[in-house]
Amino acid sequence: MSEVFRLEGVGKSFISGRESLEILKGIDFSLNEGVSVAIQGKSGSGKSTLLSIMALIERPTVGRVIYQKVEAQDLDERGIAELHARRMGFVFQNSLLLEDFTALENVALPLMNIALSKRESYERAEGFLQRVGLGERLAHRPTELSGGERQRVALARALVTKPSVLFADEPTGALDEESARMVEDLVLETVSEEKLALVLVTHNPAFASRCERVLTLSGKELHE
Amino acid sequence: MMFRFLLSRYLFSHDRRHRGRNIRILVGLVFSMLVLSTVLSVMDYMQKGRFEDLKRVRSFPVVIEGGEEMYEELKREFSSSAIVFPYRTGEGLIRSSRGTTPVEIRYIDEAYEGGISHSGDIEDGILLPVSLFFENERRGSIALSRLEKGNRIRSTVREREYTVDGIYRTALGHSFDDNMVFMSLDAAPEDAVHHLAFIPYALNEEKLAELLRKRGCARVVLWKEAEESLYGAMMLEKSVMTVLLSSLFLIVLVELHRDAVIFASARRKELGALYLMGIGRRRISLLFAAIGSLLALTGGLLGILLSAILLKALPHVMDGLFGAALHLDIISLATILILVVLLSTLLYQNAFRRTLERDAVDAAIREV
Repeated sequence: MSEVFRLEGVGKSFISGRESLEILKGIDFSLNEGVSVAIQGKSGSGKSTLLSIMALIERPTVGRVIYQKVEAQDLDERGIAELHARRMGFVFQNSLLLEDFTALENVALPLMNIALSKRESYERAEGFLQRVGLGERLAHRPTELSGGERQRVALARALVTKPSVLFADEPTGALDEESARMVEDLVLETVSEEKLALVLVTHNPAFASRCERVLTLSGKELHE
Repeated sequence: MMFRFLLSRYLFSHDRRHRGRNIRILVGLVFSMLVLSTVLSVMDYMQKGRFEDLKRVRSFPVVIEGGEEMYEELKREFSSSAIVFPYRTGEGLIRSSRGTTPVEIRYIDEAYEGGISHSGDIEDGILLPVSLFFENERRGSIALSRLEKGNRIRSTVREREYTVDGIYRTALGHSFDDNMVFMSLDAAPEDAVHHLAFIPYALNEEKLAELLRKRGCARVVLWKEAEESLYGAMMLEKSVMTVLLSSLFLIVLVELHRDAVIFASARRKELGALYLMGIGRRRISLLFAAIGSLLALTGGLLGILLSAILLKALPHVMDGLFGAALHLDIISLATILILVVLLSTLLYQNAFRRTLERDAVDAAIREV
């Protein structure tokens, strides 16, 4: 199994007034294709910041992030956008669906962004929405869907470009127990079927335990 | 393809809040451009109208004092580029039943092109302005005193009764008419001052004045020189109005900036979502800059269209105050429209780029 990305000696500090506030320190981590990793930790421990660094949303203060042998520091805006478009998928607690677009359009947009034709994008998006059980909800807008349905659309959107890694930050955090369970199953099943790497940030120990590796972020460091 | 798809969806949003905001932005732009273009056109009309009336009726574009002996020669020489006609001027006192009024007397013939509308032709009598005619109780004659050359070097004041040949009025109204009477050029006394007036139509007045000076004509007077204080006052008024219009334009810009910031802020989380989809910050900023430019273009054009309709209607609604010459100043408006569209594009691009750089992605991934 080849490596998807690697973190070497990553640290992150924020300037607060005159003081520097250190959130992460000396983090080494690597993720291979098809492996699922859960990251747990207390609120404010820096889990989301770590995920943002892994997903090239934020730059680390120190250390290196290496994506398939390319150092992230060397990537320009376009290079990062290209990685986001083709190699990464995202699901957050807030489903982040575009309100003006239907479920089908929300899922088709990332495909149009990588230059697929409108027809091909719609066909593939429809297939993914059927896979997550929303074949009947294609023309519905986000406001017409329940929380669980919105998260399933978000999952279909994250996976439709066949990325190599899925970043999921509390994907079930805002859902009721039944919907949460359904989304959990769906995330793990599709990740397994597509042989994706998964980075899951969650407070839910049961959900975390279903991943192959469970890491805990405490004292600014990552522990197995 | 995706760019066009996103553009049309964000412009014609299905979400009631977003659609409402787009419409408010558009209405604001329409109203701003309507006010801007209407004020500009009315100002332009009034300035030009007043300049034209003054030139046409009172002082004429170029006048040579004296030079009556050159009239035929100059008329031939400038036959293809200017109207040339002679007139003479003098002063007098009109005595009517209401009292005595000092007047300027213009002695004219049928070649006179001074923009007067009159009833009756001047023969041996006098053309009175409407006000003086009524002050004289519409009588068929009026007493006029004027200086006339007497024996040797002495001038004497002589009052004579003149037949009223007709009445006249001009576009300048009372300010000019009440102090002016017209008589025949043949009736001019010897000491009435000779003038040759030039109304150029194929070259500008400065050029014409230069040609006349080069030709050796003395005392060539441009209308701006003849009306120096009035011209200065009108130019000052124009400058003040330009400052006011610029302030209005500045208000439009502040509004545009505010709209762009509100638009970007309302779409903050979606900007984060688009970024995570792999649409880079630059492309997202360009997308919304295009929306800003389309809104500005549509609003601007609609505002100008409404202004054109309003300007068309004004002469009918406010007859007397506005004439048919009231129209859009197309070149100025096209310039303003291009500026508004360009600035709107830049302001939207800047607002969205800053929102993306500052906190859009953070807001998207951390907020519930």
